[in-house]
Amino acid sequence: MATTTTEIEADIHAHDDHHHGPEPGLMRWVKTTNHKDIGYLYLWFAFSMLLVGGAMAMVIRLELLMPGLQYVEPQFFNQMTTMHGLIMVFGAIMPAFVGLANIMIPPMIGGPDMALPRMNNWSFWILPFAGAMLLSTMFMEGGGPAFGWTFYAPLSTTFAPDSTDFFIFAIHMLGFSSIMGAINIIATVMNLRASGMKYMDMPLFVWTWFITAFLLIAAMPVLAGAVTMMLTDRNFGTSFFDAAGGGDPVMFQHIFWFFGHPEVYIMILPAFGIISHVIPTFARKPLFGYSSMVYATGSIAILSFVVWAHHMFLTGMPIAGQMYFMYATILISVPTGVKVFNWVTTMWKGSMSFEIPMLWAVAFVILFTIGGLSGLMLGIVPADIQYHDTYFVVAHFHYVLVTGALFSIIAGVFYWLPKWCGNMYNEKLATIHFWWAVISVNVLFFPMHFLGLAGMPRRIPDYSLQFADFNFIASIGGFAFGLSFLLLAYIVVDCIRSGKPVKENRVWEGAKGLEWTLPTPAPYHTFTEEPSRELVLKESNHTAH
Amino acid sequence: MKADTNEITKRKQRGAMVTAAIVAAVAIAIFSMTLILSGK
Repeated sequence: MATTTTEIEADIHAHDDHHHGPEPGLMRWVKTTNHKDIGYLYLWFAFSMLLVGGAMAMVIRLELLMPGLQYVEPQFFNQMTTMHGLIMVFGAIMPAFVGLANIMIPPMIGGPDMALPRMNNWSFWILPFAGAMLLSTMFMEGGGPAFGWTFYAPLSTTFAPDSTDFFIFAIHMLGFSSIMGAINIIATVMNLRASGMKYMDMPLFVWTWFITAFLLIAAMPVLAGAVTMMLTDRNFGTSFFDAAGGGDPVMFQHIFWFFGHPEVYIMILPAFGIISHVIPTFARKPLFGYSSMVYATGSIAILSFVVWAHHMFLTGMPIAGQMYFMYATILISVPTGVKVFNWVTTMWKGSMSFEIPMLWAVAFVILFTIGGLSGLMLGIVPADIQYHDTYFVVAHFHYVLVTGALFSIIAGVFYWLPKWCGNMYNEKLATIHFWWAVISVNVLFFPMHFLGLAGMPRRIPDYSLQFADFNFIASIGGFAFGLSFLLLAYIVVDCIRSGKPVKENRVWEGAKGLEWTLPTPAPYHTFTEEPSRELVLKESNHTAH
Repeated sequence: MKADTNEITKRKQRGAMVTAAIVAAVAIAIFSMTLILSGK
């Protein structure tokens, strides 16, 4: 032990004791290793990508406003659907959650920063380059990727444009960034928690992200493997996915969805965490069923790896395979139902108030449940045979990812923004924004259920006349929903620049958690001294001790 | 007291490095297994 202590003391440098603020100027953001700075960079990057991906969605809805080809060529339309999906998944939703994790996990666990700050800087700064490379493919000869965000072989190998190699490199970089982010979160949660915080004391946002990080570690390398095989099939004469050379294109789908289904939960588990903080705060009650929330999150994570082929019911699998994947898929509704039950029960007989984050959280619970129920329908084999590749699927995953994942991110931003910048946003404008967005998003996506049930296929630039009315309604909703994000940008910038100052550490009176014991605005360095176990227990928003 | 705080921090940082190395190794193993199993 003596040797170890000597070694440790030898390693302690004098500058460890210094506490300094951010570097002035632009280089602060380039060189920063501060978890909050990096988190803010992630959030601004995600918002920029949301606007880019949203602009592509506007092009899609413009073309689909009326039947017939009107504004864009079919090939460009396919590029729009492909890039919209890729940018929203890899450029907007995932980075936004990583940003929130960076900002909030250290203060929630009583830690000083993320465990690997330099790697954290690298994780972020890979993203703009990967995003730029992905977007640059649209300006290359032959156009950008136009094979859908699932990039099925042989569309993405034998029949793809040359720019696909750049797309592959961009996916590699995005995956590398995600894996490094996940490593950092696992190392932080396992090693930098306050000594008095046991695993079952951790706030749910930390728990859900901890489990999500393991999903990332298990799923992203599989995606990296898939795109590597695409690369070698395209350029080095291999035949992983080429039937003519002894390969199997259906194997691509298996590999893709072995990544792709856990990816869905990567985008929704942190959302569950955020909602599990917002609802207890504004219901002024401890979270109901904390332990069951943790176990449900773990169950969903495990089940997410054994259901991938429900995306492939039409590839011709044996009946036994169909039955297994159907039942395993339906099984996920049990832990998900536990979560919805717990949120509703937390609200039950609570002293509810409906501040902006709570409005978004309640909308999340209702609308995400709609997306979950349509998912149940799609999990049933005979029903899926009819719904597969129709607008019903588009409606389903947009309810899950927009009114689910995106709404929770907005709820989280409105919940924590006053803590971050020390100012309160314009609540009147934020209320208008909420109702504008929540009405328009339903006008946009709900008619897609009817279009899908009536048989309208997805990924088409033109359609039969009987689909005209619902497409028109959906497009109007789409334009309105798209515009609402300009108002969101104004509200956030206005809050940061000239919002009403907030003095209280605990911005919301019902909020519990170590993060609310820090000064407002949050100091540049988070906990420089460990919070005690007493404080950890006092600040818990649940009763499972 | 200062030395104790630094000692705890240092121990935590080492733990974090070990954790990160193990998790990174798992990720590399999964990537390799994807390629190996797909090539069979």
